[in-house]
Amino acid sequence: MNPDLSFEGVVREHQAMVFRTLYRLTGSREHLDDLAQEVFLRLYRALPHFRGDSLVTTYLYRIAVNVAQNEWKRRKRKDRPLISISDETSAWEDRLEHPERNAQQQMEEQEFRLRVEEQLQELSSVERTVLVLYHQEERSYEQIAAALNMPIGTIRTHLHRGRKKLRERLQQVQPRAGRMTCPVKS
Amino acid sequence: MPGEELTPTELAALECETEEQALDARMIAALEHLPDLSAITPRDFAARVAAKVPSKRVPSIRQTHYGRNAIWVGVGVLLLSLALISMKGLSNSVVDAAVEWTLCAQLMALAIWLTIRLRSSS
Repeated sequence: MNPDLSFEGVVREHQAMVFRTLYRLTGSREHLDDLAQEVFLRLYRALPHFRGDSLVTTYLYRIAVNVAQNEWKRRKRKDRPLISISDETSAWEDRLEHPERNAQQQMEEQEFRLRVEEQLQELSSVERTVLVLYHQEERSYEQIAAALNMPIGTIRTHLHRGRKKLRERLQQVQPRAGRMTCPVKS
Repeated sequence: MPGEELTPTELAALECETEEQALDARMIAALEHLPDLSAITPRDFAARVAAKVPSKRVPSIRQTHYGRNAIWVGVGVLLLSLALISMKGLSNSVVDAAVEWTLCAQLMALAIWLTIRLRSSS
């Protein structure tokens, strides 16, 4: 981290990543602003203990994961649905027509993405986190292991298992993904 | 074998494999797709968060001179001691002479140290 950078600068630098990660981990845009604020306030409290540049991002991921897990538990207690394709407030911008692509194809892609989002929320918390950090945030095994405080081998296992479960769930819900003709591999 | 036709079962298995690979690719692409959250990210988010954290207070640093004051006290005590010894008059005792010279040496050392400190601080 740049030592001359103000805290506001740090927030500006990392806010997109924090919003993205929280969105994928919680599966909803609701309260995202408050959750992101919580992440940065926790980071602020921890700033005096930082030793180097790379730790800030790693620590931010760790905080974001914890905040998302707390939110997840809170919602579970309230037993609220997390995401739905029919949810009017969820991902409405993503459904807007893209001028360069075929509308039908684009709609299919959007629906598939939403299905992936839905099924992602059905995975265990750790599998979902590893998938998001690896695929969406393009973190290495080492970085994920550091952020989640787990051995690299465990991260690989969760990633493999998470991908497999997600594929199987998608095969079950996706009509053209071989459900009728291909058996789901165990 | 090249030229050999695939049996219907093999063909179905191959189709399944291709479908699975396609599904895998779509799934990975969907996971790698970055959600656009710019519309729900407040423009002043960073400023708002920064305003919520307490501003850092610069600790007030008042210069103290405990050491220098102690040295002045020491100098005074040494001078007083030397004055008392000189009032007692000259003695031929080795012990008295040793004490006198020791006090003189200490006084000189403190005077040198004080001079250096005062010059460097000015």
